[in-house]
Amino acid sequence: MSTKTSHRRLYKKSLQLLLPLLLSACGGHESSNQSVQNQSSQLSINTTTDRNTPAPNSSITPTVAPTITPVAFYTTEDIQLSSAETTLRQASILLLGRLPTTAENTPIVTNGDQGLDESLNLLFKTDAFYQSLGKIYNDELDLTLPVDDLRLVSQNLGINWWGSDNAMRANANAAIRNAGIELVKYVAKNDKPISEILTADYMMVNPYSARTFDIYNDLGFNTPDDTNNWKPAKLVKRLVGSSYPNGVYTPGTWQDFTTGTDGSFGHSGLLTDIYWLENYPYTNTNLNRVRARMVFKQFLDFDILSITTGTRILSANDGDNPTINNPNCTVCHRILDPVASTFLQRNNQATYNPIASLKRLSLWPVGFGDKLFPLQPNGTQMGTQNPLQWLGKEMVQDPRFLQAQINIVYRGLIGKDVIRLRENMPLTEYQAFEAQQALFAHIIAQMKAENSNIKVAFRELIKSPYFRATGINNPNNLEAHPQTGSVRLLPIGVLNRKSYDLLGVYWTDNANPDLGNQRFLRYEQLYGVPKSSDNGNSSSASATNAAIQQQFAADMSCRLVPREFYEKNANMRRLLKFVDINTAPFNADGSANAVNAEKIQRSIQYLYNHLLGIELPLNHADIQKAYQLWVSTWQKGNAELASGAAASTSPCQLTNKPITKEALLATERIMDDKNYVLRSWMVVLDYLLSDPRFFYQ
Amino acid sequence: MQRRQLLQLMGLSSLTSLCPPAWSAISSKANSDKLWLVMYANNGWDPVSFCNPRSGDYVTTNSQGVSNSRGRMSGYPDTFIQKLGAFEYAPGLTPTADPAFGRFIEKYQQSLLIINGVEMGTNGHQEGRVKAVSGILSSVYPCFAAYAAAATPDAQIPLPFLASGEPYNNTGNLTARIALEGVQYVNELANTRQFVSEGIAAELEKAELDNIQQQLTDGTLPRLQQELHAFNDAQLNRRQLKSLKAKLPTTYNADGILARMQDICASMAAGLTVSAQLAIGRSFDTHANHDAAHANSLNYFFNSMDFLIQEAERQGIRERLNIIMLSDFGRTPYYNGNNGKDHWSTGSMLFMGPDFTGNRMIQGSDALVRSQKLNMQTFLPDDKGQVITAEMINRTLRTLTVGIDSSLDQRFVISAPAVPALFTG
Repeated sequence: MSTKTSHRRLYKKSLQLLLPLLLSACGGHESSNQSVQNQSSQLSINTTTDRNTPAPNSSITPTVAPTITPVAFYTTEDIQLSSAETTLRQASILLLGRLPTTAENTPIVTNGDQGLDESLNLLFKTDAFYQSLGKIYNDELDLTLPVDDLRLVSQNLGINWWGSDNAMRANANAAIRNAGIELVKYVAKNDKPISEILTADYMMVNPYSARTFDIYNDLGFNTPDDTNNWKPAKLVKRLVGSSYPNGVYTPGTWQDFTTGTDGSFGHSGLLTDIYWLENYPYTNTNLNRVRARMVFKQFLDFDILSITTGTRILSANDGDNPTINNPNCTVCHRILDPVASTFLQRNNQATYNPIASLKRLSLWPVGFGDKLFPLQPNGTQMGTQNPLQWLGKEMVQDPRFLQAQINIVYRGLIGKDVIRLRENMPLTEYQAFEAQQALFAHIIAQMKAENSNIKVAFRELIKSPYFRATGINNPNNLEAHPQTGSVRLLPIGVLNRKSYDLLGVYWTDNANPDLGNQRFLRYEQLYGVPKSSDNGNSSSASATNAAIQQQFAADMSCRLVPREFYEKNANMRRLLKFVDINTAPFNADGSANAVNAEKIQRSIQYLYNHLLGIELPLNHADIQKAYQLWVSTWQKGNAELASGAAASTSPCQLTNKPITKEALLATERIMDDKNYVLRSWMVVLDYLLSDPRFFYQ
Repeated sequence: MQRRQLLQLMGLSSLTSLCPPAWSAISSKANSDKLWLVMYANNGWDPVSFCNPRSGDYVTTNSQGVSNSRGRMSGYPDTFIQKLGAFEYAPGLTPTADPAFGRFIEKYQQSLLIINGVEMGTNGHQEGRVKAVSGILSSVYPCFAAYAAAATPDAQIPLPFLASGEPYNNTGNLTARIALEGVQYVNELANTRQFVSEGIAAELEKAELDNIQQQLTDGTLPRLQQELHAFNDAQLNRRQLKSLKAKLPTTYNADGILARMQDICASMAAGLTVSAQLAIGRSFDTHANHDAAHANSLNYFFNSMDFLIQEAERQGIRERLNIIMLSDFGRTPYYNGNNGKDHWSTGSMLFMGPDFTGNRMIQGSDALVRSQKLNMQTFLPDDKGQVITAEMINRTLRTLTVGIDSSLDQRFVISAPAVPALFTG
């Protein structure tokens, strides 16, 4: 087969794949489902873990994976994968901000790669994992967009149980703001199908929002002030008629949801999340189209704007009802408006009016794809199922839904968008796309076999070459690996947690008066880690990021070296294990001290492993380079001491106890650096903490 | 893997989204000394209220010859419309309002180019702002300011593109986007290794760069190579941040927007920044009580622009600074039942700077503020001509930055033609 013919066939195949998806956007999602299923039967990916072996004590029970056929360039002959131990370390640092514990390492120590599932499942049981999962989803859902925190609950919902207590009010508002992400975390934590984020007939409340909705006594909170104590709950009543005459709050009365409802707020997961609805408010001009657009984008990974790229230049001013009648407009609005109509019962303040008319002259009828939501002649709903509950159930049947969840996890783990099918795609890129689709088809099948658990997506993506690849064996095949291997810049919060785990202190530790939380917040603002939802379109490397990384390395080196030498027992130290404050590579008479030289080199060897996760022999070039830097610094420093250019006291000192902050006795303080050992270690520690492998995972 | 080899690989595979910022500059057309600022009027301004004035009633006639009036088009009488050089304008939104735009146009007449009747093709806010700043309804295309930054041949620009949150600041991975709000803190980061002498610190930095180079030599994954190249460039660029200190204002304006304008000018004057995009926070979305509310926003906008130009002058960059003023779209040339104006897909854009011939106005809209076809040489109405669109404006802007049909132009295709005469006459 000639290259041209092959290419043409691939394009034909790509169209076969793409067409059902496009049709799905216009209403034909059943055929799209077929396409994905076909993919799963044809393609998969070569991994080293036997998925047929259930992992003991696993929160997810692996089942039989579909028949797989390796894609040519994802063979182990073609690429190098990280070991199970390194993979676990990388996943742990990225998701938990710390190294794996002994217990988490044990399955892979015992069973190698086949223990990776179990080890990963142990990571997935930690609170830190759910914090990261929430962060990954929040990057996509933008639920932390700033709104007027004081206004959210009190004004929009007409509720005020906190009187003039601003702290209570802030907690009450935060509880509503965080409910959506807490729902995602709750679904994942309880091994529920991820579809529940759009279908849940409850919302998440903590003691503060439980008070807001007058259900506190029903839920039995043991810790009334714990903002992290979340429970699922159904809102069964609403406050009606509150007022503020002369600035004095007068509460209305609580009324049950009755007519046209299922007896509740009509929950349907994130589709009815109060904060999400308020982030994308209804206006008389957008008619809920912003909400509809975000529904497609956030939950189906389908950008409505992609439909009309480069095609629409005609005026949107003219004509009668252009969104219904003007073909330039209907190309999008035919898809968008039916979903916009499903939100007509939720006003700009997210309140629920179950008897609102669901007909608007300029909107297409309530529906999703080619399905219509049944209405009564007067435009109100039939039965007690509201249109958003209907929409949620329809959406989770759409094959784009599970794929979108995988894409979210992929972007969060790998730091790039998935490969998208596009016009004029070169053959190699198409092959890379096809290979990725094969993996996704496998993951979808695996998720379906495991109750659509989102943790399966984490597990399988971490085990995939996109996360694990460390190198390529065949230099002629580089084009096929544009996204192979995870190179993810750690967000500054994760860097801070990693710092605590590896170095023993947070960067934000106020023990350093120059680096209070406020300064850290400024760095956080400047540190441009692209959000997952940026789709990899923003670079993670910039001059300001580089400057902050240098600041981090310098700060930590300065703080840690005196602290390390304060601990006289080297075995108890975290970093400098084999040396003391006088260990230098040369004796006072200038002769070489081979014993000390080896101690310094062994300490550097330990640091490579501890900080960067790299095991190197003592004679490795990298260790020798770092050692030479140590020696050179020591020699230059001593020359500066001798000439008076450098002071004999260290610019970085320890004058207070590291933990208790009590003042040290003069004899205990670490201040002198008469032989330049302290500063030599600062330079080498700075060198290692500046390594890109420390900042990327 | 060497950079050249990697570039060849990227070129072969056309995996455009993977190219890190610094490399993009290598293939771009040199355009080193220009500076660019995109000023965004939040949520749709009303050109009828300042640069595309209309008085009288909005009257349409249907095919049967029946007339329909929707009432007044503006808040001023015909006699209020002023003429100055090429311009017709309303100095203020009403005869009693502060004539901020009048002052602005009188002061900057010779520098100002106004293009009326720009068709945005949408009445949605998000869609309008994306299209205004990028030319295309797409979530992946870079905004023009990112293109402008990518056009610089100097790969060592450390803060190439400064952006606040709005309106749309996707870079298409052409350049690095820096949060504008953080510029004032950059100075803190300029000098950190004070525990050793400069000589030892320099040796440490050299060792760090050697280490990155070694990892570049050893690595084989294209993605790792890209990040390492970008990391390496960023480490080099970081050294230049020290030059910002001398340019940062000693006193910031109390107004947050004006303070950010000071940061932009300082960073550009220090040679750290090529382009910036800034939203004027006060909303123009006046669906009710248009005359009073819109007047406030317009006055704030043009008073702020005046402040900016003075600051650019003070920092010595005005002669190099191109400014583009735009919004989501226009507003209806008539009032709704709440004395407000709703969305109207025909808008206006204003331009100033060395690449634009001043004292010019292109009238691309008809008497009812609808986009009309123009002859693209005379810019007079012509049924065989073309409507000026946001696409056309953005494609033409590329002639001033990356060049038409260059690799960067082709990376994110805009099919509309470039019409350089729009800007230069």
